[in-house]
Amino acid sequence: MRRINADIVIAAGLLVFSGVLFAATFAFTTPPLFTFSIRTWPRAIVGALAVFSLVYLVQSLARGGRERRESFVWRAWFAANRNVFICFVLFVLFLATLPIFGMLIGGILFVYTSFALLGGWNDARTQAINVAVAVVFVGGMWAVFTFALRVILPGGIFHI
Amino acid sequence: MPEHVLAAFAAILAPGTFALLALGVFAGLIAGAIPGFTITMAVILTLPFTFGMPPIQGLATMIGVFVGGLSGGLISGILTGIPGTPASIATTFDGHPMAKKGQAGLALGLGVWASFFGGVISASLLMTMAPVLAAIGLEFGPWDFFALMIFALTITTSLAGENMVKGLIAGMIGLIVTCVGQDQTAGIARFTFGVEALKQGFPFLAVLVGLFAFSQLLKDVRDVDAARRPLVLDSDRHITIEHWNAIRIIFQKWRVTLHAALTGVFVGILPAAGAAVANILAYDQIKKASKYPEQFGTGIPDGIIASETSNNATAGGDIMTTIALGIPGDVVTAILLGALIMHNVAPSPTFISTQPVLAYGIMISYLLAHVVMVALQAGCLRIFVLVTRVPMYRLTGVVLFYCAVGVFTLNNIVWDVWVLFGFGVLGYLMHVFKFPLTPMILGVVLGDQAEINLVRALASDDSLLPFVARPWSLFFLVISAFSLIFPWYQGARTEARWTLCYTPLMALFAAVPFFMMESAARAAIAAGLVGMGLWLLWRHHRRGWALPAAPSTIALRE
Repeated sequence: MRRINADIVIAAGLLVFSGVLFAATFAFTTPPLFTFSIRTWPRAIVGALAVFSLVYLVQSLARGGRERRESFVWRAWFAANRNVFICFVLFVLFLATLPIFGMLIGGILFVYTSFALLGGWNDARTQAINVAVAVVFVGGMWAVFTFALRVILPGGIFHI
Repeated sequence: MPEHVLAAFAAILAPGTFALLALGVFAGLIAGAIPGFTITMAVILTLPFTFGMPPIQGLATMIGVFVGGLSGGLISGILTGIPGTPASIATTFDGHPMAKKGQAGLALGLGVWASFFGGVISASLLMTMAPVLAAIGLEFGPWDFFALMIFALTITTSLAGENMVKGLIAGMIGLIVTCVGQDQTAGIARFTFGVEALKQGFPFLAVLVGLFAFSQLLKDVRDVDAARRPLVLDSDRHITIEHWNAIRIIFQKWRVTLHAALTGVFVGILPAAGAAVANILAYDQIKKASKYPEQFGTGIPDGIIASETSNNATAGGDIMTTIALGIPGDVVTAILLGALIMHNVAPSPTFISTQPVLAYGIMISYLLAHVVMVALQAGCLRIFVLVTRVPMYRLTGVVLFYCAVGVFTLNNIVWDVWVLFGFGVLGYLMHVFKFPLTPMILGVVLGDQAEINLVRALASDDSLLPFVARPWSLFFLVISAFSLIFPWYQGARTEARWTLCYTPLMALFAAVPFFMMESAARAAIAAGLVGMGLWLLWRHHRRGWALPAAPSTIALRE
């Protein structure tokens, strides 16, 4: 029996994705007087994606049988990608709290927290530098967009 | 033409525009000096600042960043052996050994001035050849443009090497991204699945920033220990550039400079092949042509000149196809193309004739950016060395915030920042599972134009025959087919005899469309191609179809 590897799962997922998109094209109705179907281009791309995904699946199945099985440890995988998950979570929190803190305060909190979590809890001097860098760079960028480029950034409940 | 060039000079030399160009070069040099911070990322992050500017100012700023980024990578490359950008990988081969021999000032001088001369040669070619290329482009109909875009996508995926299928999938996903939202011709909502926000489609900038900048930062910060260390530990701040000595050596080695510059321009003209390919290719070419190849890698000027001349020259070729045909030469020019579209300017073969000041303004910005680059490198070297000491985690936090602000300013809605996040996650996953990003970017950039041209072609004639009956369309389809076979050809060059027929057959097939064109000059080109193809076949036959020896490879530094 062939072993399941990430490539096989992705290829199968892409095939399903192609199927969903192809099914969605049936909802596209070409307006009267149009001499061509507006489904043509999307179907051509989705069809090509399905064909390439099938080739990828076949290649992955062929390779899957030859590859040595390596044990997959979730804890190790999370540990290896710790910083990436931190960035994901912090960015989602930053966006979710944007209506509350606004771009300036939310930005300073986001940048400082990312420094603290990615750089580690260092000595007081490093923490002070982190705060200063967060305030100067976020504040500077906020000032450029607000005053120089006249862009209204989200102000949050503090209207800053 | 001269009056347009003078008007463009006047527009670029206007104090505000020139200051922005200089600021762009400065920002590009800083970005290029930081290992892990790519030119693409720098240009993407500059884009939001240009929204409120007139197109010429916005483009001058971005070209400044582009040129600065191409040259900024040489600083850390020479001083530490760690290239600031992939465009400077080959610079480290001889630049770093030269610095270790106590000639860091000369190595930096050679790098800076080779970049300058590469840029000047390339700018000269750009200004003379872009109008010619645009004139050829005027012959194109929608069939030809569609085939050209197919060629751009296929050559991009073929450069993905053994990941070609993944490259093709990435390209298709890029095209699908452009299908989401309202259809451009009929206004019908596509692939929105009832989500109201998707009706406007995915914002181009959010997709680009997510795929390239966001995912790249996550990739760079993944290693916990590396993220906490300064990017470069042992860079020497107290160095002065040896300008006159470097210029003298470059003039002595003018053949190397010219060869590398032409290689760079050629690579730039090819869709999707940018400075990262050009610097290694030029280094390899110059090494093979040298009388002392064994000295390469020990710290000789030729290696630095080859790499730095070619990487800056690439930009001229990239810009040439972008403004003359609307086909980007690499990812950075794909973003420039996106910037032009955002400023309601759509590059096409008529672009140079209808908007000459803007078109020549782009070319002159490219030329003047090199002058500014030399001045800044001479005056601010210590600053560029200093930034290499920033730890990655600080860079990541600040730049992620900049990404969010920049994307928000596009339409002033938070949804765009969520799109950025979504594509950032997708870009990171694509990196993890080894899917190349460039084909997807090209798909996103070219998707709309490809669809419009296909619709125009089918609206005027529902037959597919014109795609093979029109010479230019046939030409692009022929080279697309050969570019798809290229990865197999490259992999089997020293093992399989069929590879001996690849180049001759490409020449013979490519000759057919030239014969179909009603022009004596093009018939001569066709005859030349046929002659070359037959001569190559005869030569292989005479040599008993012997396979070539394995090519020498360049060992990349760890």
